This record gives sequence, C-alpha cells and structure tokens, in this order.
Amino acid sequence: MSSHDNETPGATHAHIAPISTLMGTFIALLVLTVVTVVVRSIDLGSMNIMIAMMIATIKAGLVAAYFMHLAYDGGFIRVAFFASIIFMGLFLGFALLDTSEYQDTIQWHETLKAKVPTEGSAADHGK
Amino acid sequence: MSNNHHNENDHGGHPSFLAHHFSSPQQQYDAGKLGIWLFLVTEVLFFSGLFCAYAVYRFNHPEIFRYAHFFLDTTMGAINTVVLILSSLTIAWAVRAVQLNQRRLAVGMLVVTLLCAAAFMVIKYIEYTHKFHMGLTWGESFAPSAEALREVLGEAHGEVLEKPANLHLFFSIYFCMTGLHGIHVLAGIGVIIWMIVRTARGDFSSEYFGPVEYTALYWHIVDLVWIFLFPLLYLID
Amino acid sequence: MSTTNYLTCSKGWKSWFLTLDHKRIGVMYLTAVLSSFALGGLFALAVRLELFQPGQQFMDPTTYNRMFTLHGAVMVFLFIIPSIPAAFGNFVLPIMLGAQDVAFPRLNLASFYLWMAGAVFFLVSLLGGGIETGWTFYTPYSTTTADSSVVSALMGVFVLGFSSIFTGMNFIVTIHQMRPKGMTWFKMPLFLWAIYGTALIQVLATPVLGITGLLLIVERVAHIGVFDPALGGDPVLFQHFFWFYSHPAVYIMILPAMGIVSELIAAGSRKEIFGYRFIAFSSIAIAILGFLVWGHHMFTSGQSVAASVVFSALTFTVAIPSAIKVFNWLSTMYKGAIVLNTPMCYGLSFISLFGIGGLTGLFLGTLSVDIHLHDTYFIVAHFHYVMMGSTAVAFMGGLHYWWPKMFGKMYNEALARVCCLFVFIGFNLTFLPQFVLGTRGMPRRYFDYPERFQFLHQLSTIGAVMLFITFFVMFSYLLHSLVRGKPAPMNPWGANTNEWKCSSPPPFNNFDVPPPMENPYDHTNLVFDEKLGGYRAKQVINS
Ligand SMILES: [Cu+2]
Repeated sequence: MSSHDNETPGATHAHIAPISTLMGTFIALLVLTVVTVVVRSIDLGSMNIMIAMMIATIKAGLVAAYFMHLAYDGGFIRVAFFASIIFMGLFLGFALLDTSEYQDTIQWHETLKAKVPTEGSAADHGK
Repeated sequence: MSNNHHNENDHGGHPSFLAHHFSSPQQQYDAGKLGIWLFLVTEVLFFSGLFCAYAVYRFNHPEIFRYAHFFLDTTMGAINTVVLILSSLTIAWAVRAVQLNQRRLAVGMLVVTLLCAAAFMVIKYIEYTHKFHMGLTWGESFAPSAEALREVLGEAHGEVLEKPANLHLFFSIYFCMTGLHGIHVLAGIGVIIWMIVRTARGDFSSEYFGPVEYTALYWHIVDLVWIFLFPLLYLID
Repeated sequence: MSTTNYLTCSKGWKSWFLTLDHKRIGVMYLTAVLSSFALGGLFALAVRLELFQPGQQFMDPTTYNRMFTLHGAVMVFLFIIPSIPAAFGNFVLPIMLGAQDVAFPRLNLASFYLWMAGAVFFLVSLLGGGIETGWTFYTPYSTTTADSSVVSALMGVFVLGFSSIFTGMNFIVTIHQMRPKGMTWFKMPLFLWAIYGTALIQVLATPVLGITGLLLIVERVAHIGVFDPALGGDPVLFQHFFWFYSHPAVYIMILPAMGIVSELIAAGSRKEIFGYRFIAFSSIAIAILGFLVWGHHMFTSGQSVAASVVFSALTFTVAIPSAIKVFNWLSTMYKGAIVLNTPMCYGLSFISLFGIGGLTGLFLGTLSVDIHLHDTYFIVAHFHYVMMGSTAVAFMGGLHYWWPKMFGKMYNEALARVCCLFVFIGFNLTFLPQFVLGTRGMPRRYFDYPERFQFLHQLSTIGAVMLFITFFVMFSYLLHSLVRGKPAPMNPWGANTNEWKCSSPPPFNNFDVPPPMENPYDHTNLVFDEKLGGYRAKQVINS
C-alpha cells in the first residue's frame, strides 16, 4: 500500500475522454439513428429487422466503447461485459430453438378454445 | 480501527474519501468500477428475459407485431432516442469535467442530463396516456376503441390488415419492456440529482470522481437498452 | 495480540444490526439461515408424518400441498442458496485472503437486510395461507389455479435474488481487488475458488430469476398473458425462464459445499491437497457448464426433441468436473494421516452421499430413463442427496470446522461425531427407500399412495424423525458450547489457510500482523500441541 502513497498521494489513474471523441461518438449515434429510421421505409423483407439490429448493435458498441470507456478499460471488465452478452445469447438461442417446435400444441389449444367456448380453463380464467 | 499497521505517518496522508478497508484510492476506484460493471452485467441479464419473450413471440407470431406497430408513434420514439443519446453525451462530458476539476461545467452537464431524462419521461407519459385512452393495454384488459382501430387503418395507408389473434401480447410485451426501462430511468433521475448535489457541494475532484463515473455507466446502460427497444418496438415492418 | 475480538469490541444491538464488519454480518446470516433450516425442517417433518400411512392423517390435501411447497421454497431460497456463501463466505473470505473486509461492506449489510425482507415476504405468504404451487411456481398453477398468496412469495423470491446477486458481486470484486500483495490466484484456498465460481453464477443467472418472478407477478396480477395459454401465451417458455436460473442455482448450492469439503479433506488428511489446480479449475468449469443444461428439467414438458438431445448430452459433461473433484479428494486421502475429527467425518459423509446423488443424476439425464423416472420419488431422492446429503452435510461440516474460529469455543467432539454418524444413517434411511419408491412408480408430491408402498414410506418417515432429533441434539450441544465450551485454540485442525493464523475469535480488523502468504495446504510445518489442544508452527517449539 505504501507504494501508492509514495508516488502521488490519493491519485487515481483513469482514462479521460477527449471532447473530440465524445462529440464524434454523439454525431455517429445521431447519424445511425437517422439511418435506421430511413432504412425502415425501404422494404427489404426479412432483411429489415437484421439491418435494424445491426445498426442498433453498432450504436450500442459505440456507446460501450467510447462513452463507457470500454475501449480503454481492458481486462476483466471487458470479459464480464461480453460474458453477459454471451449468456443472454445462450438464453435467447435455446429458447428460440425450442419454442417453435411446440407451437402446434399451443395452436391446438387455441382451436379447442374456439370450438368449446364455454368449457375449458380459458372460460373461467381470471375469476 | 485504522488499517495502517505499517507506518503511523501514513494516516496523515489518508484522504477523507478513502474508506478504511481500502489501502489506496486507486484500489477503491478500481473496486467500485468493477462492482458497477458487474451490476451492469446483471442489468443486461435482467432485461434479457424480456428480450427473450420478445424474440419468442416475434418469431412465432410475426403477424401480431406487424399489425400492432401501427399503434406506436415512430416520431415520439425517435425523439426519445435522440434525447437519450444527448443525455449520454452530457453525462460522459460531466465525468470528463469532474476528472479535470471543472466543477461548474460538471454540474451544468449533469443538469442537462437530468433535463433530458425528465423530457424522456414526459414523452413516455404522453405515449402511455394516449394508449390507455385508446384501450391499448396489456393482456386481458386489452380493449382497443373503434377510434384506435380507425386511426391504425388510416396509418396503414388504407391497406386493410386482418386483425390477428392475441394482439394484446404485443402490448403486454411493450408495456413490460418500456415500463421496466422507465423504472430504470426514474432510478437514474434520483441518482443524477444526488450527484448534482454532491458535485455542487465539492465532494469530487480529479482525485475522487468514482461515484460520478459509476452513475454515468449506469445511465449509459439505460441508453443502451433503449437503443435496442427503439427499433424492436417502433420500427417493425 | 489484541485483548478484544470482533465479538467483544463493541456492544449493544446497534453494534450488531448496523455493523459493517463482514464477520458479524456472517454470524447474523448464520443465525438467520439456521432458523430457516429449522423452519423448513418442520415443514418436511409434517410432510413425512402425513405420509406415514396411506390416506389422510392430520392434514387435508391442500394443506399438504402447502406444506411441501413451503418446505421446498424455504429450504431452497432462504436456507441453501444463501447458506454457505453468505454465512461462511462472508466470515472467512476476507480472512482467507488476508484482507480487512469485503470490497463493499455497506452493500454486504444491505444484502443481509434484503434477505430479511425476503424472509418477511415468505412469512406473509405463510400467514396468508401458504402456497401450493410447488417451489418451482409452474404456470398455470402459479398464474391461475393456485388460490393462495403466490404474489408475496414471488416478491420474496425476487428480493432474495437480489440479496444473492449483491453477495456474489461483492465476493467477485473482493477476490479481484482486495487480495494483498503476495496472495496470488493460486495461493487462494480452494474454498475461495468455489465461492468465486458460485459468485459468477449468482451474478449471471440470478437476474433471470428476478425478471421471471417479476413477470409472474405481473401475469398473476394484471393477466398479461405472456405465460398463459388461455391468452395465447406460452407456458413452456416459463419453464425456460425458470430453469435458466434454477439449474445453475443447483451449482450455487453445491459448489460452495465442494469448496468446504476441499478444506475439510485437506486438513483431515494432514497432507497437501492433491491436484490443487484441477480442483480450482473444475469449480469454474462447473460454473460455466451449469448454464448449458437447464433443458434437462423439461424432457417431458413438451420441449423439442432436438433441444432435449442437446441438453441430455451436455448434462453428462457436468459429471466430468464433478468427478475430477471426487478423485482428487480421494487421492488427497490416499496415504494421508487421516484424523477422524468431526469436520473430517462430515467430509467423508459428503463424498459418499454426493457420489450417490451425482450418479443418480446421470440416470435422470438419460432421455429414455427419464421418461420413466421423471416426477417420481426417484427425483426427490436424487436432489435430496445433492441438496441435503451433500450441501447441508457440507454446511454442517463447515459449521463444525469454523465454529471454534467464529465463537472461540470448542464443542463436545465425541457427541458431535456421534451426531455426524446419525445424520448419515438418518439421511440414508429417509432417502434410499425413496429411490426404490420412485422406480416402482410412486409419483412425487402426492398426498396418498397405495398400501404396497407403505413399508418404504414408513422407513423414510422414521429416518426423517431420526434426522430431526439429531439436528436438535446438534444445536443443543453447539449452543451449550457457547456458554460452557472450552476456549478454542488458534488452529484446532492443523490447517494452513489464513483464517487459522489469527486468534479465535479473530480480532476486529482480522490480523494484528499481516499473515505470511504461503501455500495454504502445506501442513509440514504444523505440529499438534497437547497443551494448546491445537496445532502450532514447529519453529515456535524449537526456539
Ligand atoms: Cu438441473
């Protein structure tokens, strides 16, 4: 502990973001927001959502890298942040992989409900 | 009670902001920073549940989302996006100002951030009341008024869409996502006010600015979530 | 050396309830989780007594449903999950590192009060009529069918989740940032590696429990329909949500237990731990693999075959790091000078019970076998072997191991060893018959059963009563030791980790002299001293 005290008492070393970086990130985010709104009106079918998500990811990356200093703070912080994204992907991935498989059953429940509207759990729901 | 066993004189150079169980300001700063980042990790996973629900329903019932998005006002969403991006810039600038001992600039930047956050909530309030007014609420209580449906069909450029079953699921997800996000904005407003008070009081300096930076990191994650919510909810085609 | 210790340095209720000292917070957690254990145990006893004979004994079916639900929910959320990390982790983690406290003492106290708030929510739910959904809160029981105080129980789960998250965050930051010079990653005791792995799961998995609970509350109160098929929702999605947390939660329960056992086995074998790095990395491997297997709870819930096959295969991989640990413990004991003190007895008990619990998990992970065994007493027996036979036994081991350090008093060793034996016998008597019941087709959570199952059910109930009496005796002699116990020596078990290098109980700031950072499992320098009743360094005698 004394090693720190000997250098500059109480000094904390951290990255200070230059104004140019902050403003540059801000302008890039605004441009990307305009792009994502404009692209929406061009019909690209299922590509639309992919593009919208890609732009959102780039925006998120800019915020994380420059506003949140992730570009300068290395090590475990970066690992932790990427871990959160990986585990989120894992969660979404497995759930998506699975739910489409049993939609038939849910559909079947729906038709059943339509056929016998007065019976079944749907009718007395919430009472 | 002091942790200084090595040298009695150390205590003289022990800054007032340094908690007793840390050995240096750097250690305290790094610990706080790692702590807040781990908290952000939990926030990402907290929201991931809602994103998961969104993904599952959008994947299985794209028709609900295509129909329902006409009920949302893209302009409002876009304005809110810009407002949050601006607030992210100003709070990042506030951190820089504190690090450079520019106290007045820091307070100013924090106040602008606070105003942006308030503006965001006001716009959200307008959107919510409009939806409640039209009966566009969640799940069981979903009962869109004739006026609301007319408005939608008008916006769909005369294109007559068949109303899909379980339309309410979109609004359940919409209210869960924006509601939870809104709660985070409100929490952020509280913390930012606290930071304005402390900065104005002169608690922070180039040697001690951790709390401002941690607040900024939290605020950025709130912005980050919105960056995804905007295209997912307002820009569906 | 200090004349006061952390227990005597300040007085009055405020000095406890507003303390920021990790040791006092640990002791408060210990009291709290032990009370929950007693409460959950009473519910279990009620369930077992009701099942002594077929038909209704002294409670109606709905009360029975509430009893087993409360037993499960209290044991899981109030006892097992916080037990080892929050009570022992808090107490020994900073001392093992040689640090003065955890990184965020205030957050630590806050997480204790969140635990208290969660417990209050559970009590409200209990007084409000209890819950009958099972601890898993499956939809549509929890959203529509159950006619009880589900919301307050879910609030409890939500709040307890955050208590757990904050503990985990605190421990990760402490291990990363608060290690003194010389305390490298590979000089950390294996308990800390286990706590670290646990904390990773707490931080990465528990938020999903939070959002699940929140969505369920909203679903029940406002009927949003996300999990409700009557409103076009997807009830299986709830199970994905729930098990994304709750399978990793099994490792929140078992990993710290494995960490304790590594300490007990090393100290009791008087030998350096075998395969330190393997045990350390297997903790991290278990933490990560634990996230990839949640679908094995959904083999019969309508999950797709593709997902089931993947989850089944991944489930088997978890066996690898678990087996690595067991093999290394056995190798540690091989040619060791084993001392059968109470902690070591619990360590041995753990290894055999965990062996059974772990291996029967493989049966359940096999798709075809699981079709037959799912939702029977086989699964009940399996997870009790893991949660109670392993985690609770390791918890008792840790309690006996660190008791002298925490309170500075020795308990009655002979009685403690007898109790350990009776816990082992009583436990097996309770749950071995349940494996047989399960394979013969007795479904779990049933209020009634055919007469042919009666003998096995009675064995199980007798075992449960035996466990209850044993735990009663255990708490009696532990409490007795606080008043009449012999003063504990600094190092009663001859372990070389840092908590044994400060006085018992430790001084307020843990160390008056910073401890040397050496190999935590090098016991060669320690000799038993009859006069002290404990171990001391060799040099002291020579000089
Ligand atoms: Cu599992």
